[in-house]
Amino acid sequence: MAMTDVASRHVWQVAELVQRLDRDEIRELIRLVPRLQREVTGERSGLVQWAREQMAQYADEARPMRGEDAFVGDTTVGAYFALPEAERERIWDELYATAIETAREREVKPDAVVSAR
Amino acid sequence: MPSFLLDKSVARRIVEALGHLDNLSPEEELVLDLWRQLQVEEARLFIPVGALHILQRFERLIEVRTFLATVEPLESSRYVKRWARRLREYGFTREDALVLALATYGTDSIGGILGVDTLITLDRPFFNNFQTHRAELQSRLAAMTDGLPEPYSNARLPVVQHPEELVHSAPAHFRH
Repeated sequence: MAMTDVASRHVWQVAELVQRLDRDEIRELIRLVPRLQREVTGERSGLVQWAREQMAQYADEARPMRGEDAFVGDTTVGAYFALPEAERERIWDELYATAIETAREREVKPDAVVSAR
Repeated sequence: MPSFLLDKSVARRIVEALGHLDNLSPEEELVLDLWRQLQVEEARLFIPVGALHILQRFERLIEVRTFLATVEPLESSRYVKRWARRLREYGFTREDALVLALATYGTDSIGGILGVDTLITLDRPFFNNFQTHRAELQSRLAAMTDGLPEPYSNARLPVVQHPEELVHSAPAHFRH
């Protein structure tokens, strides 16, 4: 227990130091400790693999996006993903504003479960 | 079961991440990781009904279908607009006020819940404004609920969190 606490304290101390580094210093750190990069890359590939597995469950009901498919904001998938982040956000803001204007209110049951907070 | 409302930007970024898994930005990786973690924790996930309406048209696409299979729409109830109007007095934008009001007074498709435990947003100014006014908002909500019929009188202010805090916290943090 005590050892875990000590290890944890060391990690926090290192984390605090790392947070103060700028981008170039982070790169230098990764060059000096290549294991950091491997750990991050490994985590990312695990996440991507997991996401692919989730999608595979719906392979009979849907198909992967293709560039020419119609997509959000009267664009195509290809055109949408080529847009800058700010423009994609603008499209969503516009569509969302319309959607919430027309949203109906639902009555809540007297015995509804109230959030725990 | 803890309940979470993903605001529309989080929902959008998850779908976008699924659309190009080979080239994830750090933010997309973050929300994807969050989405995975919440599912592992068996949390009940909601998106605003407005975001559902945007995505529903594209359910034939596997990226959209997969995401929508994991979330439910959170719908507006009787006091969402009234609470949103009060929230505007604390400097929230119209959209932020509405989503926070939805997280407080929103309900599922059968009217079986009132509000969610946690609202997740990527919007830092929104998050910071909530933290700044949190105590005042608690009091204001208490004053408003005082005169309301049940179950609306039981409404509670949700927690507002950024994905970074949730992903980088221990799994137990998700449990309430």
